[in-house]
Amino acid sequence: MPIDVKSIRLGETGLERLIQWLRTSNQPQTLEAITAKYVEILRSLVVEEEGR
Amino acid sequence: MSNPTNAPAQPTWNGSSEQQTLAERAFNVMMLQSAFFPENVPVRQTVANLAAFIASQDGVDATALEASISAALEANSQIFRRIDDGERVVYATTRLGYYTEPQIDTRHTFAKRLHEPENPLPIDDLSVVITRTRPALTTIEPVFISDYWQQRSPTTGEEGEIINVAPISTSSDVELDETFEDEVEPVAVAPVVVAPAAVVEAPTPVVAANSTTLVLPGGAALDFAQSVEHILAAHGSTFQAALSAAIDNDPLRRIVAFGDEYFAEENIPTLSKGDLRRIREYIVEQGEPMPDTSILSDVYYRNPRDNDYVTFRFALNYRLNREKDFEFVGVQGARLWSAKGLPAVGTKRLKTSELGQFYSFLEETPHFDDSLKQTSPDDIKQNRQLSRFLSFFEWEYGVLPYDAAMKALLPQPLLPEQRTAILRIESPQHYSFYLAELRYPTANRGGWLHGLEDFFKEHLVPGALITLSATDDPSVWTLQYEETSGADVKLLQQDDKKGRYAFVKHTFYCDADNDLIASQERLPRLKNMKVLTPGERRRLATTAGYVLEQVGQPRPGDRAGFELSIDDLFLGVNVQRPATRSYLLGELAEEQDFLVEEAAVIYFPPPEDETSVENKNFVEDDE
Repeated sequence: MPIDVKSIRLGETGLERLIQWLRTSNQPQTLEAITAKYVEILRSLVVEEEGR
Repeated sequence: MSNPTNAPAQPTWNGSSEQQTLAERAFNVMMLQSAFFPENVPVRQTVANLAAFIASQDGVDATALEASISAALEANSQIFRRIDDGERVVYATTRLGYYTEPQIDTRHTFAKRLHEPENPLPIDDLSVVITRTRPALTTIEPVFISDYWQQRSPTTGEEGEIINVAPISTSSDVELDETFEDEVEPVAVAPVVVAPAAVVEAPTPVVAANSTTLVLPGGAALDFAQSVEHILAAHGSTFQAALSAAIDNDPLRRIVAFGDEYFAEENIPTLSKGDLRRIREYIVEQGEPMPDTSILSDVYYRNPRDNDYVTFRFALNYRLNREKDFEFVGVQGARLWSAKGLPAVGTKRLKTSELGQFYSFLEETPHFDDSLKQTSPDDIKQNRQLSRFLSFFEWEYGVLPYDAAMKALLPQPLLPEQRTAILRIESPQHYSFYLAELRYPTANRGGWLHGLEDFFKEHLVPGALITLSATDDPSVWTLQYEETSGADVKLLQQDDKKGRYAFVKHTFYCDADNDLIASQERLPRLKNMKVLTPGERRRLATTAGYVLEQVGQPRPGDRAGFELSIDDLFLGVNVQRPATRSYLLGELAEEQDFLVEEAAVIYFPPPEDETSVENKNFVEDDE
């Protein structure tokens, strides 16, 4: 079932996945880098689920 | 055969004389074997072994001797206990001269003495016995409710009945275990802690939204069908702000930041108390704030080529920033750490609170900051240098204001709560350097750079033109001036002992603006002017009034007063405290005791009784 885009809370939805990515990256990241990753995560939640 | 050292008992032997001899010899052999045994611990031996030993002594056949030994031991059964375990026969005895069963004495053990001492410490001192470390403080950790439960949180009906458990979103990082789902009892709705992040709800979307369109708080529509690059270009700042706020407000602090870097908290190594002590001792030993890279190499012997170098460097900075004995005094690109015990940088003749108040006008009334009149911030940033004339106050105390021009040149604080930065000011003309402290402005106090007192006094005069330039190292700056042939002048000096100013012969070798040199030739009436207390200097109008009274020309008339040119007043006021020309004139224009004309300022002192009251207030302020 696709995620409802209206339920997205910026800074909350998908944060767990961002943290997981940060753990596995194993080195500090800039705010720009984690923002780009966060957008990518949110996009995957919406678009990929939409495509299924 | 020699007798045992701790002599065993001497039993009485039975049997024939030959049996008595054999029994005694066997007993002696076993006593030798049990030389280090407690007296009641049995020593065991087989007949074959005894026969082999005695036969080797006598040079006879051992086999023939076994029967004789058995008979001799049996004849002395009060001394030897025959033990047959089914496979072999052994004889046992003790150093007491008879056999006794071994007994373990548990009445007096080390474990018992340790846990049940005869004189136990009082209960108040029990912590001393158990541990010397401070117990961990009990803290109430906030409960984090993950996205999973927030999205799944059921809604309770009127009677508390759980009426809805929405299926979880099919995000790939939260795989739903069917078994787990069956076992989990739906809990009552937990209080959802919502960080003040941008909650996006679009009751009336501006754009005709589809299933991939999100309406942002400002009304802009974000379509997730677009590429990541496109989304970032259009809404990157919104995402950055929301993410930064969420990270800051996360009660579990799963992501932590130092400067512009972010990392997962659980991946950050910790520093022990011993580590912190070694780092502090290292910094104090060096005598000045040290960069994190030096701490890593000199204290931890870390090499930038190490796999975990970047991670450990982040950990060092992050952990030290949470310790009260350390203070971050670095800038972007040069992370310097100061430690408790390092000598203070900058003038000690004025308190930091006093300097902060002197420069508070830069923050409270920024329109009086005229440092950008001659140049623009862009030019300063592009050229990476700034030239300015020194005032007497700056020269006397080795201070430079952190005004708009300096803000354009000097680095901004790296951390939000950072108060100071230590800069290394080098003088290429004299091959020397000075540590200067940059004090960032706070809410109602201005900022300044100090620590240049020795350099200014040794090489410059008030009115000198100096140039501060950046280097490749963001914490290192150069300070230069135009050298000239020597010039003699009777220069104003502050006599701290007498609390007054006086003119002293001085030779200087730098380019300077003659109008700003506080010399006897320039303004002779500055001689014997009192050094006002910080409380008196705090108020600009009071300082200006005093300078006008001391230096100004008496103005006769119906309303007696003192008149002084604006240039002279500006010079005289800047002897006592810092002030820009626009600040001076702007403030005095609003004072009823001052009359600001085109080229001069006139001061009308209040009647004597009011003055005495005002002076009294100064004393109280100082106290």
